[in-house]
Amino acid sequence: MIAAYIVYPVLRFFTPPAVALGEVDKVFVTTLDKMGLNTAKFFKFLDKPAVLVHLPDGKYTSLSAKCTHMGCTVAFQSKDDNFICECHGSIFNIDGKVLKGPATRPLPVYYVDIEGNKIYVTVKKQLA
Amino acid sequence: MTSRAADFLKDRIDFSPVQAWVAQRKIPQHKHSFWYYFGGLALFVLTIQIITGIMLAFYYSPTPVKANESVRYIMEKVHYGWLIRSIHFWGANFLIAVVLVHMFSTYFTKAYRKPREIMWVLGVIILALILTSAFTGYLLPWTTLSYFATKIGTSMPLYVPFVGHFISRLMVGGADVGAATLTRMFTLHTIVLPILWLTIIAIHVFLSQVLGLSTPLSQRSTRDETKLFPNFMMRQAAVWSGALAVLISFVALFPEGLAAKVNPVLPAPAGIKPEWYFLFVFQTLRTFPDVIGLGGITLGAIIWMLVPFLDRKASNGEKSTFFTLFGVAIIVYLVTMTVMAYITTEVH
Repeated sequence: MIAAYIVYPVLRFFTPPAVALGEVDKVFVTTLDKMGLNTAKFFKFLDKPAVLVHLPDGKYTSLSAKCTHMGCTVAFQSKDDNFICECHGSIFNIDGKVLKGPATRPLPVYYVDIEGNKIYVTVKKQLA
Repeated sequence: MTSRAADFLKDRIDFSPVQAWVAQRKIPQHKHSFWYYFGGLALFVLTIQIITGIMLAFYYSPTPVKANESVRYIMEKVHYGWLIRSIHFWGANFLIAVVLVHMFSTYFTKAYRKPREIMWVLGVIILALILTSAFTGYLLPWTTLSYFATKIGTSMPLYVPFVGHFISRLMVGGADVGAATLTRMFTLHTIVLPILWLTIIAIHVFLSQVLGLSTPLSQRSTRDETKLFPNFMMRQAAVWSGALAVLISFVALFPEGLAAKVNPVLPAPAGIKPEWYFLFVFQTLRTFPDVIGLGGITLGAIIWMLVPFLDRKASNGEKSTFFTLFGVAIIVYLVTMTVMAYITTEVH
């Protein structure tokens, strides 16, 4: 019992406080004129890597760029319109779904919000 | 001067019990005696690591802004900084190689058998701590490779049931690898882990002196012995000198460079691979589903640690072919996975 009194606060001390999502749930990424067709821009969102892609059909999509397998940052392959993780070879399609393992879970998708010329990414209206 | 200092100490402290103990210490002599030198060699390389590590800590700054620059400063501005860092880098590689040789030679000569089971368990823990030291030190230059290696290493505990997320968060110190991770890895690398392995190594060495060195089962008929001082220690010193020459040769011929500072937002580069001692884990993760791969490695490590308690034949002084083959199987797996990781290039 005494040990628990010591161990609990020690473990809590080493566990970092969670980030309050309400404070950082929307981020400015870039402007429309800086995103060519079929290009990607990587940025930090919620303290993790994320990616914004300007699709060939003119639409925009944004996903977490953190591979769901072991956490490496995925790369965008414009020729195949998919994402590859160079650490262990997982491939995800443009919607974040797994095309090739070892990853088994999809990349979380974010909501793209365009205000005038500015592109924002937010978690408020997650697509997946 | 030395003589006067010795007389000064002798006048005040009675060294005779220590001298008597040292004089009666004997080391078994047989055709496998060569392997005895690897334990002392590991201690020697570890001492080099401690000294060079302390020297590097005088200049290193554990923050994402300054980490890479401070290592570059050490290498380009500090007098002999490149030399000290290269010795520390190659010393880490040597240490792991020497500890692996020490462990497998202990295994195949069945030196783990009763009454040295605890020494074996402590030895396996020391190897795990040294590999953890290598892992924590790897992030410190804050390069692309070190960054993604840490991402992978800190993601592995996520597959541990119940406590995995807690352990991973404890290691990372935040949502993703960053400033908090760097300070945690630095603290672990320079304070926590050295305290742990120095303590366990002290017990390991103490037990080796209390229990004496094991004679392989096949050599038990040999009664030859040699004195620890000066005979064995003179040869050990020769081994240390040779190892130091090899280490310095590596440092001079292949000085460790410094890759560019990581940009944490950019993707992992193509062809990214860990250091040689973690390649088997890397290839296991690419070959098998995570739960099977990581579960298999964990289970294998636990069985490996418990071998002295499982190998009853060796404890009874009998040949235990099964455990010899088990050791061979482990080596074959490690070598195969390592070679596959070296030669395999992912085709997309």
